[in-house]
Order: sequence, then structure tokens, then C-alpha cells
Amino acid sequence: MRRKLMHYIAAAIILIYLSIPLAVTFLYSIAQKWQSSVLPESYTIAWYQAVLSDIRFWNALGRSFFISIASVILCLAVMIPTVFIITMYLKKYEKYIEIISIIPFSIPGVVYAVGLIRIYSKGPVNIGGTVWILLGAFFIVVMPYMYQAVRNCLMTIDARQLMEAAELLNATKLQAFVHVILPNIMKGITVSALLAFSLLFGEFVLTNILVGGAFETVQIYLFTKQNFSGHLCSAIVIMYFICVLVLSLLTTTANKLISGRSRGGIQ
Amino acid sequence: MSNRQYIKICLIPFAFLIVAFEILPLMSIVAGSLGDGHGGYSLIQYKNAITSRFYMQGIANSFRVSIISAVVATIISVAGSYSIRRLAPKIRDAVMLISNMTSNFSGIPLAFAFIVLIGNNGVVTIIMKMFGLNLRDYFNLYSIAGLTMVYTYFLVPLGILLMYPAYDGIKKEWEEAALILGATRIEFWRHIGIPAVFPSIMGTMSILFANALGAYASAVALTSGNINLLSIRIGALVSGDINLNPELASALAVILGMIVVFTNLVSQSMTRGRRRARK
Amino acid sequence: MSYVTVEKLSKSFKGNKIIDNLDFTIEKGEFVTLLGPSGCGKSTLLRCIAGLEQIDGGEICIDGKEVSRLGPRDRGIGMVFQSYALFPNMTVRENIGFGLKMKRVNERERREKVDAMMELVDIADKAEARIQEISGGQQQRVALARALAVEPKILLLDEPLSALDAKIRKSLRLQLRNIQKQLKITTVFVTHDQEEALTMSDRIFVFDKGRISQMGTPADIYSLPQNEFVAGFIGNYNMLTSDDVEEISGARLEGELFAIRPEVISVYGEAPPEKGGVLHLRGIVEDTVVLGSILRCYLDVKNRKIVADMLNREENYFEKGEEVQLLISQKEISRIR
Repeated sequence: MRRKLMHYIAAAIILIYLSIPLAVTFLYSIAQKWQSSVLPESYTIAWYQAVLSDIRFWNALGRSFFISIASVILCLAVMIPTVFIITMYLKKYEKYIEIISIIPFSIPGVVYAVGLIRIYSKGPVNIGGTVWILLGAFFIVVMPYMYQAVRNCLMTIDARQLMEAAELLNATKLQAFVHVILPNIMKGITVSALLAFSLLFGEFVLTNILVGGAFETVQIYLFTKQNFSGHLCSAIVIMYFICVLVLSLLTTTANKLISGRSRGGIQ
Repeated sequence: MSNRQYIKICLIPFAFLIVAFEILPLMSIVAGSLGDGHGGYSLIQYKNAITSRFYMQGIANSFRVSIISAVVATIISVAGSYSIRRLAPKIRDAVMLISNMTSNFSGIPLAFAFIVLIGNNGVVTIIMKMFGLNLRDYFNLYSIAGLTMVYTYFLVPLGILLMYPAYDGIKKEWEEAALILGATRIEFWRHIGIPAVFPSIMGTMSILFANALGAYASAVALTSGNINLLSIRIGALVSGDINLNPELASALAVILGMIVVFTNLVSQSMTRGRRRARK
Repeated sequence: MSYVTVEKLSKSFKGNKIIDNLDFTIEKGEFVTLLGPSGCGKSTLLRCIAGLEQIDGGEICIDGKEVSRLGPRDRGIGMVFQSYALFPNMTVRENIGFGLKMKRVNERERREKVDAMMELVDIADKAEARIQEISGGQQQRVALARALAVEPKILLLDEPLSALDAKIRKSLRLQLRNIQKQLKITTVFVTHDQEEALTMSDRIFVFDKGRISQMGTPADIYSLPQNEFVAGFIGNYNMLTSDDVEEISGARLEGELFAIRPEVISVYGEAPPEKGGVLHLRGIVEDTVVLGSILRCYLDVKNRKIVADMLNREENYFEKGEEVQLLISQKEISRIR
């Protein structure tokens, strides 16, 4: 019993440690004046009003959502069939894809941006400064996470056995994949997809170097406002956090609903 | 066999994206680093980088900050993730949710939050002033130490996420058997538990290290480029108005990449001894 | 003075009573088996004795010492888990020596003891192997050696043979029992396999829903079930009420419920030999199944289903639908109620 308590205390310490900067940011966003005292001298929601009434903020938010969701969807659409095919039918290529998925971890953002700019800022394929280069870069950024997630998922559901069972019941490989494998994968990758989304939503380095002001995401917007007012920045950050939180909760609830329904049917 | 061909066709999108956005940029960086600015090939960029005390210090600083923050964050993650696993399911999920959320808290917002906390007019600074202590005597946020603290902060959620599944590999019965054979809890972890998750610990540390080394946004926001870090130097050379020198940036980038690869190899060889056992 | 004494032991999980006010004793050197179906609480009881579970009430004494407040380290027990729980990062030798290492035994003495253990379980040739490289039966022996190396007061085994295939299981049963006799170590063995319990034990405790249904020697448990549960769990008893018995044989027996073992029923094609003290029944053969050395005959006797076991001999083969006569010695009928 005493040991259980120890774990709870450890977890509580970590929670507090992780929440303090967030809490501080929140306080700052509702403070009118907070120069040299422990707590704000006065409170206001003026900062939030300023942010929410700024159309630039909403545009930036929209862009962030758009590019993050699009990248994740692209990654899922490409990685799920690819990983499935490699692990089922082309096992000898598995080690290559492993290396490919590790490389993005070894290339820091700045470095990667340098390489991309060199190729795509001039010459035949000039997509530098456009959404397309960002989309491609973001795909590579989240690819390692999606690869691991899909691979783990396939192993957990024992994809090979499911395929064999489906094919014995007269399904073609495509039908088996669509009706049996896909639904089971969807559940397992939600967490990773969410993680990938939040990762991209908060991405700054690549966005700044590759497109900068041409495609202003929330992070770029934040950066430009940095010199104006810390209070404003805090409000933006809190808004941005709320968005990610809402999306996470929506996705997890949707997930529970879907798995709840299917459990009633098939089991 | 049309089945084979069909399958290979399905792999084309992946292949295209990988070549376009991973292989080519990689090659381009290496190629760029070998350029001499006039269209020819040479190692002059590397020479410039290595002989410059300025850049070498940047590399040393980056290395120092990253290694310390990675090690500390790993230790916190190893213990923290284990404790979290032992919580009741609902609480555990909530804690993991919060941890995942705060993993987004990096870069500019994070730097700013730390400034508010322990900067010159920070909350903690003010509290300490009330006790007659000057935080500045012990700790300066706008220094390497401060940066290390910020880095450690944002590496912990990632570390927890990575270490969490590693504990699946430890069977409860091992601990029970060890206890019955006379081991204390600590002895169990020392002889059986930690060796079992050692590969994961090393893997996590490598990833955290690579992450820290490449961190850019937090460093810029905190120091406005006043601290000499490799990632900031590279960024400045690429997008700076004054010293635009993409070739040198490429060389530095390759050096950074090699540090990461080297650290990876070291950690893998440390695990290999144990890995023989896992066979 | 019994070596192990358990008094009024109770354990609940989330409001469910898993072990209900248990009392029993075990003598020094005895081999006791806890036998019962899945979920009856026998593994939980073992874990309570080991100190891996906290008990809710009662006392456990080992060698005169009350241990229910002590941790697993301090109770002087050795345990073999169902999944062996061998440490994956160590060799066979290191595994076996682990307990001695924890007790700070010096290296030379440790080496001697480990060598002796490996000889005992016959695994000396695999001393330096990693545990992933040895077979299931070998792993089991390593687990046993590891538990015995620290010379525990009692040995607990939690279904140690259930993960092995039939042939190895039979030979390991013998080895296990021989080692136990040789070391004279008090042993508690958990299993759901009747044959194991009957062949290995000095005494059997039959478990039903957290209580001991019957305690006794294998012979007693098998031939003299004292209640409906034991009769239904052990062997293949035919259960008949006294009305059933009167209807099918004409005899009126004292009691309400009776259990008849299949092997005490003799089946004859024509007129059976005359004998005193037997019940004489007539029935029809529904099916005959060959179980190896036993023929199992499913019979219908005035609409009651009776099972009879006979040795696999030519004279004991009957056709489906054949009318047969059965003799049951009254002495072999167990009265349950």
C-alpha cells in the first residue's frame, strides 16, 4: 500500500512539474498588469478579446489545422498500405524501411530545411515558399511515428492470421484488407495520429524557414507578435492549447464510440 | 505475376515521397557541404567549420546542453513512466493525456513561460526576493544552464511516451520470484528490471538527445540568438540577412547529423551486449 | 506440532470472497496438493502463503513462526511459477545462484551449491546456456533448482507442469516427487489435473469456491468422496438418488444420494455369475468408446444414463443397442448423503 502511494506522489510531482509553465502562461494571459509581483496585479480578458477579434489569428488557426490534418491524412493514406504490404508480402525490404523511418529522427529541423531549400527553391521544381513543400516536409516528419504505430498495430491484431481467415472465406486480398484489416487498424492508430497532429500543429522551425510569412500558421503568427506583448502571446498560446485539447477529446470519444458499437455487433 | 506488380504499384506513392522529401534533401545537404562556392568540389567548408573557434564552440555548447538535458530527462522519464503505469486506469489515462498535451508546449511559448517563471521579473525570482535571496546569484535563465533546464522540460513528455511501452516487457512474476529468492526491490531493479529495459532506455536517450540537438525555436526565443548553439548558427547561415552561406550551413548540418548518428551507434553498441540475451 | 498451520484464512478481491475461513495443517516433509477447478482459489491460497497477496483475516504459521505480517523475502519459502519466471538476462547457472547471491553467500560456496542443484535436477550440461536456448522441460527444472538452492523451509509450486506436453509432464512428475522425497522438503502443489494430484501426493485438499471440500489421501479422495462436489469433480462418478437405485435394481438403500465409480460396474452379454451383495440391472448399450487401455461404455438403464469402464478386452466389446446385464457390488457404492 505504501508503495502505491509513492507512485501517486511521483506522478503528482510530474504533473505539477509539467503544468506549471502552462498555469503561468494562463495567468499571464488574463493579467492586465504583472510586472513585479508574485500574482498579477490586475486581471482582464482584454487580451483574449484582442486575439479573438483579430482575423489574422483565425486565418492562421485555419491554416495550422489545414496543414496538420492534411499531412496526417496523407501520411496515413500512404503508410497504412505501404507498411501492410511490406510486412505481409515483402519482408526482405523491412529493414530498409526501418532505416528510412529512423533517418528523420537523426536530422534536426534546421538541417532538413537547408536541404529542402537547396533543391526546391530554384530549378525545375520551384515549390519553395508554397504549401506543397511544407506538406512534403510534414509528411516526412510524422512518418516515423506512423510507421511504428501501424507496425505495432498489425502485430497486435496478427494481420497475417486475419488475412488468411478472410481469404479462406472467399475474400480477395483487397476485400480482406478493406473489410478486416483497415477497421482494426483505425482504432489502434488514433493515439499516434493525434500525437502526429499535435506535433505538426506546434511545429515552428520548418514552417519558419521554408515558408515563413507566405503561409502564416499559428506558430508564425505567435512569433510575429512576440515583440508586441507577452500578454497577447500568452492568450494566443492558451487558445492554441484549447484547440489541441478539444481535438484530442473529440477524437478519443469518437474512438470509444466506434469501438463500443463494433463490440456490440461482432463479439 | 500481376499480383506482385500490383503490389509494387501500391508502393509508388511512398517511394515518391521518400525520394522527393527525404533522400534528395539528404543528398543535397551532403552535396552542398562539399561545394566551394564557385561550382567546384572541395572540403573547404568543413575546414572552415572545424578551424573556426566560433563554430566549434557552438558545437561544444550544443553537445553539452543536449547531453545533460537528455540524460536528466531520461532518468525522470524512466521513473515517471513506471510510476504512471502503476496508477489506476482512469487516472493513468488522464495523466498520459496531460503529458501528451504538454509535449506540444515547446519552442516560443515554452521559452516565454520560463521567462515569466524564472526570468528577471519572474514569479520565482520575486518570491525569492521576498526572502532576501537573489535568484540571479544561483541561476541565470538566459545562459547555457537555463537553456538546459528548458530543454529538459520539453524532453520529459516525449521520454515518458517512449518509455511507457517498454515496461510491457517486464513480467510481474520476475519481481515476485526475485522477492521470494531474497532480493529487495532495489536489487530486483538492479539485477533484472533495468537490464531488461536497458535497450529501451538507451533508445529513448538517443532520441531525446537528437531532439535536443536540433532544437531551434526554444533557443532562439530564449536567447534571441545570443547563445552560440549549432542549430542557431545553421539557421542564421540559411535565412540570415548578413551571413548568407548555405554551403557552410550544409557542412555544419552534416556535422550535426554525424554527431547524432555517432551517438546512436554508441548507444546501440552498449545495448548489443544485452541484446544477445534477448535472442 | 505441524510444520505449516493455517487458521481462519480469508481473502477477498473487490468484494468477492476468494478464500473463506480456511483451516488446515501440513506436516513436515509432506507433499500436499491443492486440487480444484479454475477459479476456486487454490492459486490465491498459494500466493497468500508465499506473501505475494495480503490476507484479510486469519493466521499462517510456518515452522512455529507466524508469518502473515512478513514479506515474501522473510518467510523462508521457495516457489516455482506456472510460467517459470526465469530471469532472461542470466544464464542457467546465474539464475539458480541468484537467491544465494542475494543472501550474500560467498562465491566459492555459491558455486558448490549451484553445482549440487544442477546435478540434482540433471541440468548440469546446460550450465552456461541462456534460458532462451533451453526447452520447456529444461526451463522447469531450472526453475525448480533456483527455488531449492536457497534451502527453503517449504516449496510452493503453482501448476508448474501445465505448460508442458503430456509425455514430458509424466516424466517430470516422477522426477519432482523423487527430488521432494530425497530432500524431505514440505511441499504444496497446485494443479487442476486429477491424475497429477492422485499420483504425486501424500494428501489432497479438494477446493471448491474458496473452501476445502474434502481432505484426504489419494485413495480416500478417489474411492470415498464425501460430498457431491468431490464426487462430481474426481473421476467419472455415476450419481444416483435412492429412488433411482430402487427403480433400476429393486434394492432399497439407506441414504439419499449415491456415487458409483464406472470401473466397479461389470457388464455381461448373457447371464452374469451369481454373487451375493450385488445389484443386478438390465440396460441397453448406447455407445462404446476406446480410451486406450479402458473401454468406456455408455448405457441406458431404464432412462438413466450410466457409464461403465472395463479393460480393453475382446469379451468387453458390445454392439450398439445390445441388451446387457450389469452387476454392481454394494460395497463399492459410495453414499454421499
